[in-house]
Amino acid sequence: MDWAIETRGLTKRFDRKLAVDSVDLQIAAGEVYGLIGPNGAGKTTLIRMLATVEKPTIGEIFIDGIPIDHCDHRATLKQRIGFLPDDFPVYDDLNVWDYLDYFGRLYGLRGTRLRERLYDVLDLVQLLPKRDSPIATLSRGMKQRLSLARTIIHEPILLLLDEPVSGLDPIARLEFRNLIRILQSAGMTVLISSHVLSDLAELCSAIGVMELGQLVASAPLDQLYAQFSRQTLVITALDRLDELQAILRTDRRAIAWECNSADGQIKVEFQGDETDCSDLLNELIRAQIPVVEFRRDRESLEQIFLKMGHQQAS
Amino acid sequence: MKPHTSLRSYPWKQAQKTLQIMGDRWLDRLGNWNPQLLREIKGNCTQRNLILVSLAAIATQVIFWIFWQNIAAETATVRSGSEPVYRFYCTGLRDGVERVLCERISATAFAVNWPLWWLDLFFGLSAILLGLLVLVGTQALINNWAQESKQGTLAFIRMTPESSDRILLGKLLGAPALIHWAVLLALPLHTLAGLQGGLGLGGLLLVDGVAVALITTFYLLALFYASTIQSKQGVSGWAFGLLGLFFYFPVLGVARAPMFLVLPLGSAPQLNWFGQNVIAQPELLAGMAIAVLSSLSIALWQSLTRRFDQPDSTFSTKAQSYWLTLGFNLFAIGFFVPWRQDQIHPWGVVGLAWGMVMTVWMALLLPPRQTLLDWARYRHLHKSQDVRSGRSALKDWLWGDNSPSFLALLVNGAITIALWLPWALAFHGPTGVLVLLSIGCATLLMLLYAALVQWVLLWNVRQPIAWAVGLLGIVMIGSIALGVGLGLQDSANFWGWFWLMTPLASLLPSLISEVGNPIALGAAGLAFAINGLAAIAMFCVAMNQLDRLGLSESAALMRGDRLEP
Repeated sequence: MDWAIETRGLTKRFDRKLAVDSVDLQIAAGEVYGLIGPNGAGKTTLIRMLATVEKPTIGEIFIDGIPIDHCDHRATLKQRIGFLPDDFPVYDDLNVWDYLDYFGRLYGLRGTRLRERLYDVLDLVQLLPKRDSPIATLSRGMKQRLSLARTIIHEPILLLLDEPVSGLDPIARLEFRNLIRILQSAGMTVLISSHVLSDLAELCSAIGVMELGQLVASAPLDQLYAQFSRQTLVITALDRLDELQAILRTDRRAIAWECNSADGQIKVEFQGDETDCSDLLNELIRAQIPVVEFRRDRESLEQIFLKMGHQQAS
Repeated sequence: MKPHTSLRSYPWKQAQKTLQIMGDRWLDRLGNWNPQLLREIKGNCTQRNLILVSLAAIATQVIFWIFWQNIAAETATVRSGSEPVYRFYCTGLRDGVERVLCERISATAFAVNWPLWWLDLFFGLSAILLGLLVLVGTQALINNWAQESKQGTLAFIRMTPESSDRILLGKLLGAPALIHWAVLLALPLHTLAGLQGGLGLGGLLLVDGVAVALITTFYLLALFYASTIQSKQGVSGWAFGLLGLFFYFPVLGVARAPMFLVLPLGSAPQLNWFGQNVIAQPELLAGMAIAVLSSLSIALWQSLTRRFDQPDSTFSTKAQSYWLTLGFNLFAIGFFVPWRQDQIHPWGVVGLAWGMVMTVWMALLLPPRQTLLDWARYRHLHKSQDVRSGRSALKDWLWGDNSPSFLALLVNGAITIALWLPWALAFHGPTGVLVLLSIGCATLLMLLYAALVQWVLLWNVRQPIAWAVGLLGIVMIGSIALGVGLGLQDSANFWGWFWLMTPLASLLPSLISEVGNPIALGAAGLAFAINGLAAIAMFCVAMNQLDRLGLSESAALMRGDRLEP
């Protein structure tokens, strides 16, 4: 299989400290891959190496099967990668249009194509009304969107985002998530590192966990949930909670439960798939339990992360 | 009245719009050619800045013109009766000390040598313009680069497919764009003065060619400097500019001599190159200056683009150093061929110049600490650098970018000695031997210093570069003090030869008259041996340290070394 990103034994040392230690990573094309781990785990260094900003000490990186240090393909590879660092520096002496125009030209865009692309990305990041504004006058959220526009001006197929939502307010984060969804639907492969695991849970199709420079886990999100997430059924009834509990006692799939009589709610740790849940609900209805709420809950990504023995610092 | 006003203003608006469209098209074309240049121009040349700079440039020219007019008026003025008057811009007979006796054209006026007046105006204006570029232009470049490094935006530019050549060219032309605009505004007066001064179009182009070559070299040095510093750009930018001026003023002195040869103002100093007195031939001197400055600029350009593409690499490759050493020596030999006894003694000059070139190589070929650590730790993984194969290891030390520079420095010294050997043999006398002695001495000494610097850079200290520079300074000054203490002037004094272990070693033979003195030669041999042994010992210490730092984590633990140096 040709991976959008593949690394083999990727290692980076700073002095004698291993910042990234023999990382073998594979990300499929079109995937949104979340990279999580405590501060200092090596996420930023890994992303900077993938973005060709940092040179690996040893190891290989392949983008679409092409080795990243291959001289003949360097220009082609650069066209394919878009990188947004966590501090997203911009030029305060330019206005929004000139900034994007400059980077568009650096990526080889000219004439009508350049103008079209500038309008497209400004529209996408909702900065069209600000096209003539000096960058120094933009808010942090706008600067961040402008940086994202710079990152995608040349239509890369691989987007590397390092802590893209850090320091943004909830609305800006929501807008950013929507943008990523649009880019994903356009076929981009996205690698995001973030401490906001709820965002990653919404966006990502696969997750990698880094600790002390090593990639200690890497799997599709569904697989992680299946392996580590405990399923909880939340059942609320108007009364007859005792009978409900009696039914649960006879059901082997109900491992444990917690009853809150005041609210009429029982939280059941349930081992089973969707069909099993449906069977249980049918049984409750046949027993004429006045059920007003029956829903499945699963543990959050953060809870899974902690359960895996990692400690997420945010 | 209103419609009438709007009709009157319509053509003006139309013209303004047409101008704007033309300007936009021109900028678009410029941006297509070099996006970096367009970016710098847009960042620097705001309407306000352009108006301010234009006003300042025109005002300065007016003041300069009035000042120069006054000089002419002063020259022409007759103040007293009959005593002879000597003035620089007069026409007339010369006296024994090359003064010009002013010739009267009327009772109230002397004749003014207008071509000379124009020529000196040309020279003065050129000096000011170049000085401005050296001081302010380099400062603008250094600040621009340092700011981009600090912000982290250089990484974005590096990530684009745009070539480093174009980006650097855009920076060179665009970062000091306002200064360039001011210089452009002064070009009409500059050109007029040159033509009126009798330089002719060819002479003007030649002089401007030298000026462009000179300023390009200064700009590249500024960028080179900026790429090595990390912060405090505000202070260091001006410091570089002032240092540039310090070196620029002697260049002015050299430039003025051949320029005034176009007028019969007497003899200029002699400087022979392959038998040609270059000062007597301004075209040859200008051509040589352009060639030398261009070679230096090309070398700097290659270093800069290399560092821009790979910030962790050395400034120069070892192969480049060998070629440049070859070029430098062939150029230097030209000043001593054919050899005449009345010429300046070559040993001191060649030795000192070679010592300086070696110092440059020492700095340019020194791999950064991290590169060296990685090389020491992982060199066994690279087939081409397999230490188990002696041949590959030798190849790596000779040509490899990440290996230490000792062998490359030694090879550069050997190339130099090989090139001077036929010249030395041609004299069959002490002169030739002394030149080789000077080169060998400078090479050994620089090897010692290179090993010392390499060793210090491997120390676990907060600012290893500051430590290395400091220690090197102490060693240099200390050894000179030791030399002074042990006695220099008396060549029969055995200890006097210990000067061979100081940075001034290469100058020593020129200070010694009794070359055949057996005591002196014996002491020289001993000093050389000590110098060589010191270099080898320092090399072993540095390599031992490097090997220790290159141990794997487990090997380091077994040895009891701390993992974190």
